[in-house]
Amino acid sequence: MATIGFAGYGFMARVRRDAYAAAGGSRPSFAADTDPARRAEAEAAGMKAFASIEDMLERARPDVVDVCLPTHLHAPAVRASLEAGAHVFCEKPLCANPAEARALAALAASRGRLLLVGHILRFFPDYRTLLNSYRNGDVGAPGVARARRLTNRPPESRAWYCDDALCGGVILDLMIHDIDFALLALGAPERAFARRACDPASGLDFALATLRFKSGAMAHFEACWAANIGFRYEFELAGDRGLLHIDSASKPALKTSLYDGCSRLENPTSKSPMALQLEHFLDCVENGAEPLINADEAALAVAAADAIARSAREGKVVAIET
Amino acid sequence: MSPLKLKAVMASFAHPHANSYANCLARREDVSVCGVYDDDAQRGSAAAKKLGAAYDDNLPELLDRLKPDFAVICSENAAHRRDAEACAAAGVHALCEKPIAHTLEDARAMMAAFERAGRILSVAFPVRYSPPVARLREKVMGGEIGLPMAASCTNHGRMPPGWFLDASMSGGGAVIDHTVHVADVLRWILAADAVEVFAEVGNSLLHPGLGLDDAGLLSVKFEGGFFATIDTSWSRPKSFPTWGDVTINIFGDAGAIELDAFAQNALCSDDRAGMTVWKGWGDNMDALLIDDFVRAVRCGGPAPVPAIDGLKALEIALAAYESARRVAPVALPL
Repeated sequence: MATIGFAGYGFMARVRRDAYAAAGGSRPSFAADTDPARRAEAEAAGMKAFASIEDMLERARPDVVDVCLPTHLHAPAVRASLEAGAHVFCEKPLCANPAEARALAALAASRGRLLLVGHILRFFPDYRTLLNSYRNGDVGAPGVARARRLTNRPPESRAWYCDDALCGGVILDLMIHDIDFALLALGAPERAFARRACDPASGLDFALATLRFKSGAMAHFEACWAANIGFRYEFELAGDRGLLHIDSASKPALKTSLYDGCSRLENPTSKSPMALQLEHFLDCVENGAEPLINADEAALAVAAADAIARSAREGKVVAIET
Repeated sequence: MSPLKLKAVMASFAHPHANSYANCLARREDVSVCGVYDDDAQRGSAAAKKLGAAYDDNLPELLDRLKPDFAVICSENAAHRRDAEACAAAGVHALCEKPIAHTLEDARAMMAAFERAGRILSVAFPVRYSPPVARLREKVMGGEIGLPMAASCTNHGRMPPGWFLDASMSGGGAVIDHTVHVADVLRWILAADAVEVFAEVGNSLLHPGLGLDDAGLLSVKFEGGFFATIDTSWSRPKSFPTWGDVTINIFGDAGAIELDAFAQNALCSDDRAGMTVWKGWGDNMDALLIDDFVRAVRCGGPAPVPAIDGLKALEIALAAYESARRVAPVALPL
């Protein structure tokens, strides 16, 4: 059984704490957070809490550090953990800067430690089914992928989300899910083009992007944060002899409509994608399983997302270094 | 420490679900499928070879020789009683494919045999194990839509082959084949029994020359006034993107829930196959059913889906045939 410590004990750590419990294996026993209230919460949940990551690394020496910090704090926490000899689970994106992402991947490799980034679509049963079908040759050679992701604006209490410099906005934080999945399916990217609309008054952050791949295939991305837009995703992959499509909303397993106006769509499964992801990450650490995502792939997703964000800022085509 | 392995016998591969159940059992480290019985020697020995199990065309002798902990009965509906009684006589727990039998008399005899033997007889209703269906039940029982009033339901399918089309083996066509899944789920959600059934039953309506019912529209009233319709028709053509469906649109006095138990799928248009298919990505409900049954065997009971639930679902299907004969509603129990 691996010992696990959270770096940061905010919203994502609480989600992951419950997912560790659902996964049924090792559970975090340490947490580091600068906020005393959050440390008290971690202790109430049965964990030993520390005021800094360095303190936790030195005194608790966890086998694994699970980084659940705001994006701009990922890189220093990942680096310190790897240098202390821990394996690292890190929420996506690995970090905001492509050169830094590559350096973290190289550091993990040189230290012989796992750096597993939570690109969770790889653990969604619908995305996995689509990917397996594509790899089975059901659509032939890939041509055009279309990805769509809409979600409610993150709550204002998490102010770092609203600061582009801290989280990277809708492209680096939301679209990167689909960017990673498209890279997984379509291989090395060549160039990006994008446009973005931000409206601070309403909170809308909306981006449309294209990626061209070295194979000639292309992908379109639509990502939206807005108040009350609801949650929805779609992914479509058209090849030279077939088509694959998944959609979170067109055919939900359950649709509840209350007569007072509330309605809700649900697609229950016996284990959540987050629990499946943590189960797999622990299997890699504890039993040497082959990771379904490696740090170089996570760094490439950062590079592609950064190119898309830069294209949106500069209005130019941006080449992607691979 | 790994637990002692349970020994399992597959009693017939006549029903194609046997393949799925056998695969689910074979994947478990704590179960060994040690024997296969089948009166079709070719089918049975092929399955036994694949499982690395012994084959026999005589179930009582196989049970006596292997002394398994449990058996999974997937013979033709009309043979369930014979195979279940053999298990009970040998003191072997059993999981029986639905419908529990093709007559109420057989179902009652099976229940009595297992009661006497003090062994578990559970009915394979995998739909209960679908996470969307389980969530629907939680929501309705938790009062989310208020008082449940009515439901519009379907269990469509393609026309099956072989003995399913021989009424002496199956007990009937689409109505006995497809009523029981949804009838069971409604009883399970409402915790109430059906009190009246009216049904329109169509013979050779969708498949000319079939000589058997291939279409059914049941209207079922439950204790307390809740009513539901169930479309049991074999109405999905071969070119339809999937085998069929289970849908339940349930209305209460505070809201409604629409369930599509097999909506969890990816669309795949494949020019090689010349058609579009839906590839399911939801949980394998057969595996969840097998897990729960194995757990019950280890605990020594109770049956996860007691035989009486199988009998009550069958009764609704048989009442539908009786209603169609009389062209009138039929009161339950029969």
